[in-house]
Amino acid sequence: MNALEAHQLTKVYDNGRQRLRVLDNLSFTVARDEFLVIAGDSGSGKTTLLSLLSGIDKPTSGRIVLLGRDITELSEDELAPMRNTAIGFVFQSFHLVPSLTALENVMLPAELKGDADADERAARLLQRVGLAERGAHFPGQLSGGEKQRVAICRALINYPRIIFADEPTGNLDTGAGERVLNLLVELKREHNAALVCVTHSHGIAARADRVLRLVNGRLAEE
Amino acid sequence: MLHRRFIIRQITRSPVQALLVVLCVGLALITLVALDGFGHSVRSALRQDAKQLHAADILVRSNTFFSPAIEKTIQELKQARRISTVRTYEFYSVVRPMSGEGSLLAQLKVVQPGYPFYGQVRLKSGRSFADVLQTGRILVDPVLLDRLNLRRGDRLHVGDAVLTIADEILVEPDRPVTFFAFGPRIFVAGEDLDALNLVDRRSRVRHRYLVKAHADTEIDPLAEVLRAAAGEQERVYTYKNARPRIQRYFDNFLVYLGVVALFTLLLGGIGIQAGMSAFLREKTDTIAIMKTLGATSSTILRQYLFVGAVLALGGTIIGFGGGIGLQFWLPRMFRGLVPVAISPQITVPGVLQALVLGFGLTAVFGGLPLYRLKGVTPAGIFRRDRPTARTGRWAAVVSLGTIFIGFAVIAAWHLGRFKFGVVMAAGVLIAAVIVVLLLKGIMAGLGARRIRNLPVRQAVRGLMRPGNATVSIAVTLCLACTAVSTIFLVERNLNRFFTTSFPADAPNLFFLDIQPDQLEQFKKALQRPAQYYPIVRARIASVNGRPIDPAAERRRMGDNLARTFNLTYRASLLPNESIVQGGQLFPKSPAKAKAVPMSLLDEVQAIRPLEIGDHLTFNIQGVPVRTVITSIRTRSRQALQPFFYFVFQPDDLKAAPHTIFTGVRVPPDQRGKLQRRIVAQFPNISVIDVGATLKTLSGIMAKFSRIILFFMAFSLLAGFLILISSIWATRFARIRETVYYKILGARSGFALKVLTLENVFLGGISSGMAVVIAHLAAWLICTEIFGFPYIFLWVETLMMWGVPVFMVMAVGGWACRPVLKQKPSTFLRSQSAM
Repeated sequence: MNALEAHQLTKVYDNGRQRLRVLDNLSFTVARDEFLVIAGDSGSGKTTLLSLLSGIDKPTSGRIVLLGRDITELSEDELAPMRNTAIGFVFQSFHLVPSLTALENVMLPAELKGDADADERAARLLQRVGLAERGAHFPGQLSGGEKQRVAICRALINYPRIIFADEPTGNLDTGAGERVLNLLVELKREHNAALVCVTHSHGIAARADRVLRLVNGRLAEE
Repeated sequence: MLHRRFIIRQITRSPVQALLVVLCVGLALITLVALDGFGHSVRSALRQDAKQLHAADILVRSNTFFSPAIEKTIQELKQARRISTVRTYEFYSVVRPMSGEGSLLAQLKVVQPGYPFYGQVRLKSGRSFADVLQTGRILVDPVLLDRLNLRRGDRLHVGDAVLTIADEILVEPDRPVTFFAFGPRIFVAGEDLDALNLVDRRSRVRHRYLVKAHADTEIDPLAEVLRAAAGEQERVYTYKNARPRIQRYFDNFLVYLGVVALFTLLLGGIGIQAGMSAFLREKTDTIAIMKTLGATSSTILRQYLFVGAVLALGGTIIGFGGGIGLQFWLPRMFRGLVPVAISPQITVPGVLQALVLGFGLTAVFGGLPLYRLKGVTPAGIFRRDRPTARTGRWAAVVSLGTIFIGFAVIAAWHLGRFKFGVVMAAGVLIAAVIVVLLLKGIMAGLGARRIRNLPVRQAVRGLMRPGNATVSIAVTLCLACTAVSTIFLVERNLNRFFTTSFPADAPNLFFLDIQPDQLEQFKKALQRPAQYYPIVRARIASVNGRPIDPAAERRRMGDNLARTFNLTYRASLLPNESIVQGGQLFPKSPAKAKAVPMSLLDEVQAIRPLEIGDHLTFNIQGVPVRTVITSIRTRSRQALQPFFYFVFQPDDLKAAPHTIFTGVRVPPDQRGKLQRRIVAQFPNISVIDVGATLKTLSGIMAKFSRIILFFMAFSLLAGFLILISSIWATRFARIRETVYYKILGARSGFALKVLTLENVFLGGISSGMAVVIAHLAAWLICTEIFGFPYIFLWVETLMMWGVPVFMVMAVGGWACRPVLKQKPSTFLRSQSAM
């Protein structure tokens, strides 16, 4: 079984006066432990595609099958358990909850799931990424690289089967970006998960199992 | 230089925050403008109609028969054709119809021909008062006809006389307020006074001479002549200096409402500060970019000062307009209390005052957020998640000092009492500081706790969200809820004390003015055992040889020693009394030979610190009686029982002219029958039905409460505006959190639960503190001012806590709707576009 299947995905934005076709009839699959990069220029629809694949947004037409289940028509609440346990997210802007400490941010998905040992697992993950001492710090007190490592820990705490990453090194300098990418790939391997990464970084693309290039909303496999 | 388009854009790009600031300015002004205008209208109407309100040029008043000296002077002035006079008598008496059921305590006014000199008594028939009020006829308040089911032409027993109802009174010039009357008015012609046979045997009669000077220039000299002749119990006023009861009542009530309005003003001010802070926080990026592009702090400050001025102007227009609008509605609220037709006035000073107040308020409360713009640095555009550096602690201190002084000045100016204004400002400030400290303590305590439950923890963290005006909202809500709850608790306690807690065996029917020679007959007519209390009316002439200064005494808050007291005599204590000093009521002492022994109730010590051995000289209907305090008593206040400040030995007071009163417990179904029987046999005896009196009292209190609560509602509204403002200011953070919850796998109910819990905590903490403070304040008011035991009311307490929580939940929930509706994809797209 594939981790992900996209069937004839199309996304059209309609602002009342004009229709903008962002994605046009895309179909592809992602294998269970594959590292897939979706590359493309700014405005090519990369982030929109990631939103559709992860169930954050709905396609105008087409189907998405995630871990064998068609998620296209699922409601927000039906998607919630999938997002919580089967999917991990890593964003360019980190999206950590500012009022929670690093440890609490990592714990949050496990707590939502109802795990009693959320704090122990979160602490172990932070230790694994070298942030054991920063657990009590708030996001505002962390550097960009540290924030992204916290975000990776948060994405992995519920052992997801697929990780979606949106420009995970986009806000980091070269050194920090490199370290974060290494960590992401390492942890992906440790957790035996698929990784779908949207980027325009050639460095990341070079390390992927496969790269799909988006040009004007259409796919061109490299 | 001002950049017009930039200023307009700043306001139009943050319409909600701008509107909230405008509304807070408006809200702060509205009650003050309304009450100021209303008070001004009432006072000017009273001034214009002063002669009508007294029906005379000069008033000579007494609670006893006039002294020979003043009678002689009046007669001489009349003979010299310098004045005309009308004699009036006012007192309560029970009346009953010739035929049919029922009896009623009525307020009688016996007037001689010529009444009134000014103004007119308007009758329902439209006929002239002088033509209708003739011997054998009476004019009555329409309420009396309703209550006794009578109509014009029916006959009524009034004292010993039977009089015919000739007409109904619509307006009476010198008694415009029926608010405190325990019975409807009856006008009786002076010729029927003797036939009533009531005045000589009555303990409480208000005697008046209405005097008309034959020349206006003579009014003041004539008043001086009359004052010179007046005895100790007589008062002489001209229409210019009499400050009628209605004006005193209005002045006092308007001062009280003024305090409520000032409270709203303060909360509105806090709202302006919270709103301006939130408004300017939204501009941080713009300001940082402007600074990056080379704008100086003063250039930027100038633009935003103008923005503040525009918002202040908007708020002032709303506040002034709303205040004028409210003035149209206030006469309806004060229906039955307003003596004259009140029309709202728009005056130039009124408009200027509103402008000064609106701009001053915005400057005082919005000053600190504007000053803090200095703290925005160009670096802010790079690090949005870093809070703006706080600019200068001393600026906060200066701001607080300005607020305190500004508030004290406004309070002093508005209430016309400087000291009161300063004390009020200090009181509110101290209360606010205590509440802030408590809140900070609670917040710190909550923050330090490791909360296991996830939604609860998220809600608590939400309260500490950067930019959240949690403390401002909580202080505002807490102060507003405290004020409302205190009034509510005092009112409920009074009601409960007088009604629910009224003991089953406590008297509910009181009989006043029983003459000593009627006592045996009365006992037979009453047909039940009762405690009888002799009453001797007297004034205190001196304390330890020092004469009482009536003017100084009347300036005192609460009770004073210059009024007329009811003395009594008995040999033993009442069941609810006990001796606290002196061992027994009248211990034998050597002083007895020189002065009359007297037992003092400890409550008098609150008026003046009197001790055993102190001497009080009473003027008992012209006879000086020197007494010595031989014991001090106290009483339990658990039940409504008669009590006397001064008790004498029977032998010392029995010979003085006195009346007797008693109270009995009568089942409701027998009350009417007994009243009728007693009134028929003893027309001079007044019967007071406690049930009916309590109903009147409750009605009065409910009316007062409604008016006060109406004005208090504006304070609550200010609190809710701050809440909405805060939610709006933090909506980005709330949306972000909600989106993160959804992305991380929370169901939509989770975010709702967290936001609801946050509002519950906010409302719960604020109203919880308010309930505690309100109980403390109400306890002090009940025990120290009203002097009755405080009852802790559980249901009301829960209500006072629950209602604000529910309201915060409802308002907060409503304001959070856009947050909950936000789609994750839309939010993330907007973030990646930044």
